[in-house]
Amino acid sequence: MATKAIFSEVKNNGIGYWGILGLLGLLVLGGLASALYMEHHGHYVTGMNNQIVWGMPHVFAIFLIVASSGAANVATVGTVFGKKVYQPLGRLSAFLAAALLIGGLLILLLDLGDMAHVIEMGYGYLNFKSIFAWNMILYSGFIAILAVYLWTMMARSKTPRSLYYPVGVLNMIWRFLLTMGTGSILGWLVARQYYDAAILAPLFIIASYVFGTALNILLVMATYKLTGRELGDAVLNRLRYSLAIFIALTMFFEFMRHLTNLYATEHHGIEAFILSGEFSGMFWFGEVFIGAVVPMFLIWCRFLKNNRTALATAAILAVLGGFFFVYVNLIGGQSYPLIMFPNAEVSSSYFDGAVNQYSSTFPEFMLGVGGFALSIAIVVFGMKILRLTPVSLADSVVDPHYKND
Amino acid sequence: MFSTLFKISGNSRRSPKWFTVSLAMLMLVALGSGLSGCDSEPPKLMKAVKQFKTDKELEEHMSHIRKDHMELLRHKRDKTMYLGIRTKTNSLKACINCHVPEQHNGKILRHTDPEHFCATCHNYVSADPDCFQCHVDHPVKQDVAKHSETDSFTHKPEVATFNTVESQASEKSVALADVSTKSAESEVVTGETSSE
Amino acid sequence: MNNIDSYRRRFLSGIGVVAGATAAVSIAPGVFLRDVQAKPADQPISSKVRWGMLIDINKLEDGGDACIAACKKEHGWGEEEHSNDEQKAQWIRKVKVTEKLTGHSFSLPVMCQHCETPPCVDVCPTGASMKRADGIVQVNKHICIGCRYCMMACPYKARSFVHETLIDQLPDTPRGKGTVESCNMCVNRVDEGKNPACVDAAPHALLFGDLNDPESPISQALKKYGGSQIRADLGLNTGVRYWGI
Repeated sequence: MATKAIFSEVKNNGIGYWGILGLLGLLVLGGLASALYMEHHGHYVTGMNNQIVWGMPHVFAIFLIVASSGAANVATVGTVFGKKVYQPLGRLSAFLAAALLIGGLLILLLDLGDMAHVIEMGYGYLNFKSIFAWNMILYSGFIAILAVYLWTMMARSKTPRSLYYPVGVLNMIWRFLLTMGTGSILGWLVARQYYDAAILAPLFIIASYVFGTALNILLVMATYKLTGRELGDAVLNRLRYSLAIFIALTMFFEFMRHLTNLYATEHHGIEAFILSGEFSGMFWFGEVFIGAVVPMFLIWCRFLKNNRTALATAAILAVLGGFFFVYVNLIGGQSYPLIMFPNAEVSSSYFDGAVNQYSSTFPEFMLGVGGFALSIAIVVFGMKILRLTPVSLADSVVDPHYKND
Repeated sequence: MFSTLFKISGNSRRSPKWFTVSLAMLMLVALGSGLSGCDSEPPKLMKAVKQFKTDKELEEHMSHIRKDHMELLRHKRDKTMYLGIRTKTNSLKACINCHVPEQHNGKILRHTDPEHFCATCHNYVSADPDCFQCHVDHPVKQDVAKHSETDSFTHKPEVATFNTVESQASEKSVALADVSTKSAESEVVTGETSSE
Repeated sequence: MNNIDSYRRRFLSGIGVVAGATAAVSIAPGVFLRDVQAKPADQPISSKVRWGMLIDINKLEDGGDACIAACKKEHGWGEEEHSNDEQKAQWIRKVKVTEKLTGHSFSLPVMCQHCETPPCVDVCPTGASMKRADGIVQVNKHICIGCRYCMMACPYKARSFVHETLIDQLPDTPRGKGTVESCNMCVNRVDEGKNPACVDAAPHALLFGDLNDPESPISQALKKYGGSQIRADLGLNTGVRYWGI
């Protein structure tokens, strides 16, 4: 580890700390109870059906998995690109990534129709043409790499520290593959109008930077506020401006995707559906306005320079926008009917040709919330037992040459 | 997570995890009952519908199936799924048809009832197989009268249906004849058939 | 595998041959059928066979209602008591199509199209979504984890997820909570040398047979008149073909 920052566990031991952990624990229990309820009754107690086969749990899961990859980006920038300002945040960033991934994967697992059959995969029932199967390897590999990465950052002996850079590079490459794989879950679906596009892989990669950076900002700000430690503008502004740039890039990829679709007649239907139909509010107001325009304004407006409330708001909105992004992609893409007979009105008892309606029930929503809460709980607890956070992130510690003008 | 489960289940192919687990449980139960009293008896099983002619056959069947029924069923299941081999030997359906009566005390006997042949032992050893999540747990005679008994292509009545349909559809086929030579041709020829 | 030919179904004979057959029915011009020979139960299926189906929708006066009823009866789906209409299983359904420009309207039964390269098989992480050597696509529910990725991938919406606990299934069609299912071309009947239930329900309009056997009636009919695929643009080379769409 190249930085000289001093790390320590979080020392809080009062009602505040245990209260937060207890609240998160309650949400996790709620999620588990929901999962048991769904498992016992079957999926008829959810809003998911044969038309909208992936619902709210998958929105949460995809968000968390994508955010996980992005969360580790702060560590990558410090390691691979040698940006010293980021290095003190490396441990927390890598740990947050692992926690988010665990939360997301647990949601996916608990939503499965038959969890017991997962064990059968150990007997060799794995299909390597499936991106899902690859993702299982990519996800478990990512957790292993993060563990080694954390070790190279936190160990005192020489050998692990010499591995800091190579593991950092490996972690970065692995993250690219992982988010590509997640984007390709939808991107490689030939059947559906809104998917089946290679651009989904880079779009998800860049979106992962948005989610991950925003969560890192919120985590660091909350932690340093609640622990009473010093947090300077030097490190925060780095995160602040990279968040805005990532948001802009996401918008660029989203723009290119829709422009390409609008050019092809075959995609006019789905574009109208998303941009001016049932999902237009969620797309324009949720994803674009709340998730992109407002945060970019809050970050780049000269009058809000160094304004922490503005930054926290921007990060929260970016996370919200991230959920809208996943929701529009996942639910919006499934709501639009499959086109089996172009230029024809189609109807059937199986809802062919009909726009599919989805509203999540409480258990499936709670399952998603529980997964998210688990991720945060792991981080909150991790900070208590591991030296993840520097005792100070004041400008003088992070970057002695930083000039705030 | 998929991944963790996937990893821990990397067991040897010959003895599945659930087999090992249930075996371990069996040993625990055996140990428990051994401690509490040495005279504990295995549960009494319901009599099968069909009986073996000799005691020797019965002995062989019992010792073989008691030990290997999981492996046999598992093996058979893959042979049926992938290769379409549907012999009665080691088929779950055949086991059920012989070991579970159609009715018991005027009721259908389900795998959740302790008297059910499979449940009796599985309850005793605390094993919980999920076969009956999909497979029916008692003998059911599928209504075969209409379809399965004979090959429909030998049914004369179907020809009659065939002809009446043609006369109904003929109006449409005339209209189509101008548009598509393909369908027109097929309609014309089928017309011949109906005039036979 | 010489014995394959001995039990492979041979539907077709020329008119002359059929003259000797006891009960022959004409299904299409110049195409005659005779009794089906079953594969011995202990023999594996062969990749020399590819089962396929031809549906002439002009002859399906009910748009396939009889086929759907037969399928329900054969496999027992659609009676899930807790599931709502969007959640109930439908292995086969009647789709009504009206062309917007011409107003031309027709109905057809749509189910699993038994693709040569099925997207559902590609995406399945466990290999539960599978294609048999003889071209029949089905779900191996023993290893289906219920992730529903195949339902996302299928261009025909052919698959259903079982949303609740089931009891009293039919012995030849095991199906249960948390797994995905779809038309399996009545694999249990086909293995016994019978036709799929829907074909038997409307034999005047549906033809079942071996697409790899150039002598089979279905091959001859398709060779002579062709047969449309739904979403042929995807290049999936479906085993179910239509006349009249």
